[in-house]
Amino acid sequence: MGVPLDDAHARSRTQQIAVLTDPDRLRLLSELAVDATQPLDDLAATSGLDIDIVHEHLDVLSRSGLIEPVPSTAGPRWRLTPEAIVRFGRLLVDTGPRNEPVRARSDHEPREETSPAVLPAAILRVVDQLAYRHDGSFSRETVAAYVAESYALLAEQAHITRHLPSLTSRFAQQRLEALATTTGLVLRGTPEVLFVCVQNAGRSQMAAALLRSLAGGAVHVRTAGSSPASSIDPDVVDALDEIGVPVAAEFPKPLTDEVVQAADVVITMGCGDACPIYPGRRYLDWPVEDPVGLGVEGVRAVRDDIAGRVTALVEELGVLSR
Amino acid sequence: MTAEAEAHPDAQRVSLARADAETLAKTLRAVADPTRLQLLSMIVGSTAGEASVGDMAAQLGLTQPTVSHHLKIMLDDELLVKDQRGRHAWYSVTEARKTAIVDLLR
Repeated sequence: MGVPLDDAHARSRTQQIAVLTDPDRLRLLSELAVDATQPLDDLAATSGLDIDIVHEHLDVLSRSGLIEPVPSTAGPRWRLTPEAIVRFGRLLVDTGPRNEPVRARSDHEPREETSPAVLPAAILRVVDQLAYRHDGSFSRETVAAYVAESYALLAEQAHITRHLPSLTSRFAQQRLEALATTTGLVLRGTPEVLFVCVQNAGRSQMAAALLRSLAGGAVHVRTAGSSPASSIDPDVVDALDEIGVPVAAEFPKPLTDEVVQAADVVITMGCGDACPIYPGRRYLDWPVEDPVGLGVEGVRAVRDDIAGRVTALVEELGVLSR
Repeated sequence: MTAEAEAHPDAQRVSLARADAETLAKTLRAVADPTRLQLLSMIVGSTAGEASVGDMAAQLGLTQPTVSHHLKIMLDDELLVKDQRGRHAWYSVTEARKTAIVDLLR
């Protein structure tokens, strides 16, 4: 006999299932499973429901973690969460001739054998990203196993063809969070701080070097510049050397959307407007003077200014006290 | 359409018709209960794909009549089949429903 679901999971699943005992809600969810690009008016028309009723149902579905908003400029759009796809996907979409029962898998489910070694490149990148993000909490092997399983579960749903890597990433992330909760682990993804200045040759390099030396591996630090110089300012290297802080073997790098998206905290120094804004990230602007051409004394003053701000940031992130 | 046009319905992919939605809603009502989900998880998780009332009641700390009551609801909806062997009744998930039940429990 199998081990029963624990009480908490049994209750949360019951709650989700109970939400779907309403045929109208089921049909709405089914419509979204087939086409997540529909405007709500279309959804109301196909389902024969009043638009206000559609809003109410979508609200309930979203609070139960079954749907989530799709970023769109063309008005509100909703899609199934990865969890909903895995749990209800097969029930909601007819993929073949009608009334043909879905074939049960044999006892030896192939997904158990999906090994991280045979994952497509895009999914391996998801492993890299999540392993990097959680390197304080989970081993790479654990992350890889969860990603592989999440990928297999989603790929099994024959109707999903696109966005499989991003779905896999969100689903694996969710399940790692759940794992952390059940094992009593406080999941704190290692925060990623991005320093941005104009040339990525002075201020951002100093801030990065200071943060790395202060926080060690408790924070991931990256830097970029809105118009990167060709090399780091030697005065900056000297000023840091004086206080025993090494500058990483870095070279000035351009500011790209990817590095901003990967960051939890984005700190700009003198290039605020050039930095793309993404929701869910924290943006700070430090009004720090550009050290270039200030002379040794001036560079030291900038260094000390940045050092004070970095110390305050480390305290605020609370990364050293965990 | 935009690049987000993730889900253009192919000819093969159709949303639920009203009658199907009503049938499915009825089935979901039969499993929308923590104890019944726990019973299903024990049945599905067993090596032979079946479990007896007594074993399940003992595992969950419930009385046999309580467990039988829950099992009957699922039998009535044809989610489960019962195999009486001597003094014990063994319950397993209807073959055609197995994938759906396994999915629900994930």
